[in-house]
Amino acid sequence: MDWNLVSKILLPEFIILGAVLITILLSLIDKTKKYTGLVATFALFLAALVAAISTQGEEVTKILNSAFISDSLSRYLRVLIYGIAALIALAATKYIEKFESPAEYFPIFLTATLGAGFLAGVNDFLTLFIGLETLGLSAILLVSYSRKLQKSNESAIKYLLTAAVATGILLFAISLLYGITASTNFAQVASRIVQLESISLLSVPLKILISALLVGAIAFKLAAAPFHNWTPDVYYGAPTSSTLFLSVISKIAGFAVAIRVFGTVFHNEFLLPMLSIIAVLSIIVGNYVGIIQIISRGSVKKLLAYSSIAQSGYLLVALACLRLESVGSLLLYITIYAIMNTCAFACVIYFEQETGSDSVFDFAGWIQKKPMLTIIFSIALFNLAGLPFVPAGFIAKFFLFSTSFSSGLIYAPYLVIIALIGSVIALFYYLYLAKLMIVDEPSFALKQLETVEVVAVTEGTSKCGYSYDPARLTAMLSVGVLIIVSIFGMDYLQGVSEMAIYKIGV
Amino acid sequence: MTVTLVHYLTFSALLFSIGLFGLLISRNAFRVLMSIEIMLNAVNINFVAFAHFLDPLAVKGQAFSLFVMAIAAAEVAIGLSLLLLIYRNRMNIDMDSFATIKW
Amino acid sequence: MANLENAWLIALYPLISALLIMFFTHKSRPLSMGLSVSAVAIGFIHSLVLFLNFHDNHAHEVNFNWIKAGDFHLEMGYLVDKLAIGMLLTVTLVSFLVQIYTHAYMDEDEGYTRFYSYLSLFTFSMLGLVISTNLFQMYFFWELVGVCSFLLIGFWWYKPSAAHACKKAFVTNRVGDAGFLIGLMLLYAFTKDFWVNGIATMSFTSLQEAINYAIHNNGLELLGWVSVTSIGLLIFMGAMAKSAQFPLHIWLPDAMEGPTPISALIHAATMVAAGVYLLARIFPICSIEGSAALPVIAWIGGITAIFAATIALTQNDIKKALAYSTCSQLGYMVLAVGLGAPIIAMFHLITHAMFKAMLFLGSGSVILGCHHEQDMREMGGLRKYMPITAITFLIGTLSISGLPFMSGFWSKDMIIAKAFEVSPALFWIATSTALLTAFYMFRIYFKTFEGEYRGHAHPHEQPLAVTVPLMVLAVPSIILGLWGSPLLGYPLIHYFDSHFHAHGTGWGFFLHELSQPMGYLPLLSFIIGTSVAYLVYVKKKTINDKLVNVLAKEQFAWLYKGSVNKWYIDEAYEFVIGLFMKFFRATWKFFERVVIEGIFINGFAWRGSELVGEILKLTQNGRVQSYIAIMFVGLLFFVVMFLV
Repeated sequence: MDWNLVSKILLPEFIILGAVLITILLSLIDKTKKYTGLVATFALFLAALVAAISTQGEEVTKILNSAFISDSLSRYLRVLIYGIAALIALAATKYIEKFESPAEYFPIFLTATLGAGFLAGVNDFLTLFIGLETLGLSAILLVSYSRKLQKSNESAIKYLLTAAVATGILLFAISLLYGITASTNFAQVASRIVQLESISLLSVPLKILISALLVGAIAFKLAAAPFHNWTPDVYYGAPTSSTLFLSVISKIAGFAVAIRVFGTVFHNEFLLPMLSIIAVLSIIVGNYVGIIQIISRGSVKKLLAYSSIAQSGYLLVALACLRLESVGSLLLYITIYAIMNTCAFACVIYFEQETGSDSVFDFAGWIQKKPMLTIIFSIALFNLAGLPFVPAGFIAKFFLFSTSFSSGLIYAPYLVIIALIGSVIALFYYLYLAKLMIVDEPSFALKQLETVEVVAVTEGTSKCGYSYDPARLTAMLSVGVLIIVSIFGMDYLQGVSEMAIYKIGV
Repeated sequence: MTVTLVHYLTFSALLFSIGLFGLLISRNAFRVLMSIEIMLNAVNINFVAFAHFLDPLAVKGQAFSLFVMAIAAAEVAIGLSLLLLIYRNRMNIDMDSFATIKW
Repeated sequence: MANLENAWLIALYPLISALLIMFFTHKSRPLSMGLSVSAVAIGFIHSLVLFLNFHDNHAHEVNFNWIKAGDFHLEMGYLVDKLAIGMLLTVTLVSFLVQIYTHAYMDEDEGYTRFYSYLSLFTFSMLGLVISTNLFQMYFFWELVGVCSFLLIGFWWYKPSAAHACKKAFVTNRVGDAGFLIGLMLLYAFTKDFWVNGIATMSFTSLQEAINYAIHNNGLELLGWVSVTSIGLLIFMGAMAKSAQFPLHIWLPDAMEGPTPISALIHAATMVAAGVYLLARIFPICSIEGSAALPVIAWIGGITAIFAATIALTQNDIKKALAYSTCSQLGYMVLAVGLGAPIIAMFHLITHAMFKAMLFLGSGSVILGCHHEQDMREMGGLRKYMPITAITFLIGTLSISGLPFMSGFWSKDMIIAKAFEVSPALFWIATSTALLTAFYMFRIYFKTFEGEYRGHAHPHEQPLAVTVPLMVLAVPSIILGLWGSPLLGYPLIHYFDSHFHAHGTGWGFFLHELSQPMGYLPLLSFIIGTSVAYLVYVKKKTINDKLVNVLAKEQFAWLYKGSVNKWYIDEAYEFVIGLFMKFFRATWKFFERVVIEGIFINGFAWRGSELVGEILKLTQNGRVQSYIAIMFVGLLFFVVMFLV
């Protein structure tokens, strides 16, 4: 094995691995508990930078006994995952301080990110499994982090059990695939399946069974209906920074696996209808319950959970069409989605830091307290809704739907129409939340805040040891990226995401 | 009677179903975790059987099942520690009590 | 460094400083101030070098791809021509001086560094607007400028009046921008197939050809609901809101709730002039033979000019009075565009930027000196306490009132002369506005600086950071006009428009047409307005033992009331909006009750589709085992469905 090549390609992962060790040590030494998060942020940022710079070039390289592949798709997704993870780590830095032993959050966070990044370049079902579990098990720990909170416990056990079942399903599918092809390597599996197909040795029921199991296991990661029921509960119960991680990093990793497995390894005539069905179900469920959440003034975290289910639905529409163009626009959309969602959740994190609440009701009239953040939050919501205000979200959605529409799949137009109706319905809850924050009178929780602050100031206690609130910084950074991308980057990003798909290796 | 691949597969499918059944009806959280172990073991039998019959030289299946075992152990470790935590917080690990977050 | 290729850097400097302040230096006051000021100073020097080296008569333009979707493409880039350079110089100079002034004005404010970052951000947006190559890009920066203005008006958001004012500005501007956007879309719809072969979409340089193409190849009408005229007027709506033209002017006086440097920079000198700049850019669309857009624009400008002037007569708040005067002067500029002379409008824009920025900064100095008193009834005699402010304010007043040989005189004179050539009615409106201007400006000056002090504070002169910008601005307020005057042969006008030939009365009454009786009118209106103000407010002339102004108030009570209450425009809006809101609320209630509750929540009961809601509720029951069961049911469903 060529270790030079391995260390060159996996340098970002080595950086993160090193950061895991450093943060573990630091969590023992660091009494102020705030440098661990910053180290993690820096390491992730560095990893993203290294991934962006060091792995340029067009060639497809397989390493580790062809268990890991370095191609355009894995390069793109690793940069995306590490970059967004850096933002999330930053947002968590102060938020996590209120739990016991806050500094230990970040080693776990880093391993979870490592798993997600590795998933971007898996080329073997064994590494796929290990990557998923590295991500999944660490994510369970992240969800359960607020140990004394019963809702955090509950959501953690829910996530653990459903994730274990999903793992079981995935393993069953892998074992069947192994049984057919006597290999776990993607390239070998793919070529043997083609061979078997050509002499019609592959029975239809087996194909259906494997497709269903694979779709089910991956749909769990994507939080797509009907494999979505864990999502609202876990998103609600988890610490908000972990929710953010699940809704962004975990989802990107899921789509990375989905694109690779469905796009290059296992592809048959039953797969696309199944994906279409879960796409439609996700759009319906996500948007329907989203509206109910906002009307019944539930939790913003739950609202965003349902919104993320619906967003998965839109992305699955493009995946179900499974053409190069549509998957390219999927990558573009998931990039923008990741930034928007990070921004929205960072605002929720900040709000929670200030008021300790995440109910929709308490967000009323936030603009009168924090005009800048409210505007940022509204921009994120408008983008999620796909309004052309800051046009990144709008353009990405436009590409997603237009490429799906013209993909040639017979029922693609119907899918796109359903997705469009879904996004129009979704407008309601996004705009309702924005209206609530901007137009309405401040809520009781916000009014109370003022008196608390006055007391804090008169007692001479500083509220935080940071010169700038990290969650707020995250929100501003991500909205800044969003605006800059909207102005200068859409063309570039579209080109990059298209290239990422065209140069995909098997 | 010789034991063929089909026997192993049938056995593992049954085991998987038993695990699933136990997972769905158990009220005690420990039993649920155990049921998950059973499901994963069913998959292991699959792998080993396939490796034995189809891939006797490369033994990838056996290797895979080792990984599965390791990760299942990690999963159970996390699960048990979580249950311990929950038991400390609410003196109860009944599955029915984990239904406070809904809708 | 300062060649043509990196002209876009001029806009970039303030953006960099804004970001640096926002993220890094916001703890340190001197550092933030230094960054912000030096960024705009470098920008000014850069524009100055550009000005000295740029002699082309055609525009220099560079475009980058921004968005591409099939045939639809948008570009971003920068465009440098003489018009843009003129604006760049004006904006950077005023912004530079205002930022120095800010140091003293905001010294005691907590939001000092935040204020500087907003100022830098605004300067960036404004400069970006100026160097935009196409209408879409300009629309983008247009919105950005609007957002900055919104943030800055509401800078003291804890004051209810400021919160209300920024909301009002935002809403009013949305109305105008909606028109702008619709106009843009219409224009694009008719010229869609023109923007091919590398022509940047909506680029200003190709606007003329594009509109001709639309008329000849795509059957765009000249008059009608969808026509060249309506497109021009819709885009003009954006300018109307931003440049505070009647009837969308209501936000500008309220915007004075913002800190005074903002009033000077944004709401007097630069942003409000963006509307005029836009009009100058889209002039090819409006001036197409057969389009009726120009007369409408001219009349709206004229009406605004005289309308705002009548309100300014009676305002007691010094900043409000100046705000209405800004409205009125903007009316002049729009009038000039409507008369077919955008270059003259630009000339007036530049001179106005200088003296109006100075007047506002002077008023800020007065407000500081009187301990945040804005009511002129509580001032008076301030000349003794703050001589520098008083003298510069007087220079500004003379300039705006049209004392011959001052800056304001030349540019206003040209507009009036142009009106004389085109339309007698507009000529009389413009002339009487000039008379009113002289009167109300001197009313402000006399009430503030002459007579006895009526307030209870201890007025004092301000530090150098305040007075130096005032003195610097006084210079162009006096002499800049000469540069465009017939005395020197219109060098500034020639700079903007090399084909220009002085002919007829169109280019200034003064000197050319003194032989005609009409030629004396602007001068006469200055003299009458000034002397009446002098008699009333300094000599305090009485008729039957009653002060003239008191008598006038009594004799023309209804006029006075109308003027003080701004001719009830706000009330009229409130009435109409109230009606609309009632309707809207009723519709919303209907929507909420019938559509949302009825159909989504309750309605399913009697339609049998509540099942969906119930099933979803049932599935999301909080039990993890049922979740797992649902997953397997889903799998089973897939398998069975495709097997059968």
